[in-house]
Amino acid sequence: MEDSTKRSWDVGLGIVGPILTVAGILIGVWQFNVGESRKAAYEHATKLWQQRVDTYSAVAKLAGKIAAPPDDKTFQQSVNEFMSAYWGDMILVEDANVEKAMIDFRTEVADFQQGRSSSDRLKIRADVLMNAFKTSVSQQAPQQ
Amino acid sequence: MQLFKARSAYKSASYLMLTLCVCAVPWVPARADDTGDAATKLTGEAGRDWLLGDVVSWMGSGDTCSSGQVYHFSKDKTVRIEDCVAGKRQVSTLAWTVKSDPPLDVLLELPDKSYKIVFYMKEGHQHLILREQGASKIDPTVDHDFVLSED
Repeated sequence: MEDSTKRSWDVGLGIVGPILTVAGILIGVWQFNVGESRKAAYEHATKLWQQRVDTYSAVAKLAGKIAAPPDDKTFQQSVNEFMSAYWGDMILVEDANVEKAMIDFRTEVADFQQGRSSSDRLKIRADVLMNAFKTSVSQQAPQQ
Repeated sequence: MQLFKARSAYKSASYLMLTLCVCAVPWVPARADDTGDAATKLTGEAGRDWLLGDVVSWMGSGDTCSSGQVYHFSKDKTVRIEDCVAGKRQVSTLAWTVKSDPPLDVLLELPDKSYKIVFYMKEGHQHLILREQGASKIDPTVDHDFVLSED
């Protein structure tokens, strides 16, 4: 190889080498950022999903206590706690179907308290409500 | 990888917990009135008057009236609605049907509106609630409470 050709190669590599190195670093940083962003989105979705599961579980237990109360005191206390969740935590996490089931259950409880409904009807409303919870949880599970 | 496995296990445990909650509430067969029962209760043998509120007798003679509303449900699937507007009796006739809304509800369908039907007894009187349920939590649920005319 002639000296001039060799020199040209040296100069070319001297220019291309650092460019490739910088490009590699930039691609690496970009990949890292994309990965971190996806991870953060997944973690955020998982956190929201978990919050939804926790809230649904708490309200499911209250609905069970209302539908099958051991005594009147427990019933009234559970109704009060259910109403707190109805206007509180549930609004943050519920979807449209769960909201409808919550309204139906609440209305049935009001009817029951006024002697217009029965324990059997309350149990069925509770069943509908919990199935709505289950559907909501499975439909909105975070995807990786 | 271990973190992912732990998350999957946590997710599975959450599903299991919710499933157990659902199973903890025993399923009880619906005792709700079906649509045939509801229609029979609305009309009786031939037709029945349902008075809005606990009004027993409220219409005057002729077209004059003080207040109130009467729904007269007939077997021919029409309802005659007598309304007292500005001291005058106004009568309109509409078609009605009842429709099941599982697992518990029965709906009364009028041309322009749909109501949930609730029957109950109070102090020996048969009551009927036509319920307009709110579409969301902040929308009010409106109950129109009728009592069966004993006339």
